[in-house]
Amino acid sequence: MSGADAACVLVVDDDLDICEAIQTVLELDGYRVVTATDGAEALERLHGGVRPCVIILDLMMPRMNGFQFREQQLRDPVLREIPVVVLSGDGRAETKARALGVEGLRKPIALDVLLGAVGRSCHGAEGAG
Amino acid sequence: MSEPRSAEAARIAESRHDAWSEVQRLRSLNRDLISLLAQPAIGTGQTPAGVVQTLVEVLMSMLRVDLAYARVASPGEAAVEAGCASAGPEAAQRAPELGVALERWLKAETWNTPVTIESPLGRGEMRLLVGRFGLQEDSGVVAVGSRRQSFPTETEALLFRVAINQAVIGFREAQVLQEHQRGERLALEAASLGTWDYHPLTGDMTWSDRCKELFGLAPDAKVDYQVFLAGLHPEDRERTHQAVQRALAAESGGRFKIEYRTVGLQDAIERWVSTAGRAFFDGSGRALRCVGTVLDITERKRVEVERELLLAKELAARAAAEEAIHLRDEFLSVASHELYTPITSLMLSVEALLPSMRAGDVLDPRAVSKLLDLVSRQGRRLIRLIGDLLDVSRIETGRLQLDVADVELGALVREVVERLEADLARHRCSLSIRASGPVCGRWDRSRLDQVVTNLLSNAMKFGSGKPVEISIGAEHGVARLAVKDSGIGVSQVRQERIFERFERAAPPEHYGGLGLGLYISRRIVRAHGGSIRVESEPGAGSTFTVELPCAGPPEAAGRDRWREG
Repeated sequence: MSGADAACVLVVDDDLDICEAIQTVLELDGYRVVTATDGAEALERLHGGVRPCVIILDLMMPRMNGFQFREQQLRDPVLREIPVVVLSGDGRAETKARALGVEGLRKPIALDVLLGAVGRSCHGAEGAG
Repeated sequence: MSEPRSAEAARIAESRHDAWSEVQRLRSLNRDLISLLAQPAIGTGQTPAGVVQTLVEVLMSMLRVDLAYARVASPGEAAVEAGCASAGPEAAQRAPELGVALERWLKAETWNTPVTIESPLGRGEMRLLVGRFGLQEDSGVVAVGSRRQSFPTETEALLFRVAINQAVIGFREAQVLQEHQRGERLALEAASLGTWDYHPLTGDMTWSDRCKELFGLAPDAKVDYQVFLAGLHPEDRERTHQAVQRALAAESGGRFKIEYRTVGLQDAIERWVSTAGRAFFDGSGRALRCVGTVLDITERKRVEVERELLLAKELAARAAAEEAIHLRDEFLSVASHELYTPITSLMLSVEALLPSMRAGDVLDPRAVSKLLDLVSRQGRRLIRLIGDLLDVSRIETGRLQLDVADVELGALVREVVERLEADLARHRCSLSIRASGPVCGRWDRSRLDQVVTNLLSNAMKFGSGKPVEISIGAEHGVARLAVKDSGIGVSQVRQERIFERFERAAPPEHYGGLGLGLYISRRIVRAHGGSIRVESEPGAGSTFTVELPCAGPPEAAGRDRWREG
């Protein structure tokens, strides 16, 4: 994955507390975290040069939801390669994520599950480099 | 000798003549007898009274008598009588007198003997023939009287009896026919059927009383096609007229059936009527006559309408139930999302803290503080969510009570803003308060706090980070609080519904939230005797305005107010 920052994670969630919690726990694990409150802001960050090794994506968000973001991401030849992990409170999060062709996790999520998913995307293994 | 010879000759000639006339008369009687026997009955196709009248006329002409009288009584019917006299119709009209005279003849038992009677022809000697009419005793009597000395001959007596027999047959036929017709009429009446007869060429119309009744007309009302059209319900008039006109065209076959409403021309009662009719055409295809029946189907229609209403109600109830189930499912989905969100932050924070604490690692105090802050905040969020759910439950069961005290609205709003400061900052939301002065009222402080918190949270959530303006004022004893954002706004359609339970201004895919805030807020405001409304334009933002009477909730503000829809 050329240009990707193996220590950078983009968290997209309209719930500021979720963003803050994920940011804090990932930072404690050695990652650098960029947050966005909706799909549009996430695209802005990416277009602004942020190259995360994984995008943690919520589905229900204002302005641009997770589905719309994914659609935009896939249209961009540079951004389409960035792996996405859907993290949603929706009971059908896994099914919906599968429809988007990505991994799906359901809130509430255990810390080790979150770290495992991020680690697999960024290093092909758990833990930060 | 010539004189006696001539007298003798004359006598012989006269007797020859008499004999000849007698022969002629007997021949004539025989012919009459034969023709009478050849007939199936006397008075076929007539009414019973007609049969009796015909019998009297036949006897007069065949027997060449001076008087004829008949009276027939049937069980359950008025007696029928007829009389005839050679003196002309005036005498015949005095048939009842004949009847009185006849009573005397019968009592005198002077049959076939000359008697002197008072008759319409005057007092004089008469020879009578009297016979019974019918098989039953006293069912009827027939009598003829003649001033002729030779009356009655055997042939005449025979003819008299044959004529009576033939008339009895005719009379029975007539009775059967009458019964049948009465039965038909009864059947028509029982079915509430009316009949009508229309002659399109002349425009003449005849309606039965029942038919007129179905148009709300009296039996003596005049009818024609225009009356028919006028009697139809305006909504049914054109199609009914068209249906009749189609039936009057030969190619239609002439048969038609149509249902329409009548307005009740004289009684103003609306009725449903079913008409079936048939038109008859001449060789060139012109409709000469159209006849048919009308049937009152008001009751049937009423039942039909009732059934349709019931069906519609049931469908509506089913749709409402399905809608309620859909809303509940959606609510559960949203509720679980809303509850899981703070729990996610809570668990992540705790799980990040625990291992290092247990291992005795020294964590960055800033990170620890951040995580503990998060934990505490999630706890408060959960408390608020659970509070909202409980409030809804209280509202639904009418258990939410107001604790009224003196409250200054401006101070209360500033208090809420202060509490939300951190949230506002995180949403990068700037906020301004404009107040004309202290606005005091008798309200429930904590419930009002809830309303203001809800409105500010919404403005923050849907305000797209643009400035939020709060204005506070009072006019004519009514306090007004307006919260204006410049965010995504609410479409006209959704504006009506956002105050309903589980409704959100935006689709759940876009925004979270239980969709209970505005619902609870409106109930609280209404319980205070106030109102809440929204003015909004999609993309330009929303202004929520709350108006509260400063005097506080009306006296009756009790449990019911919470429950009202």
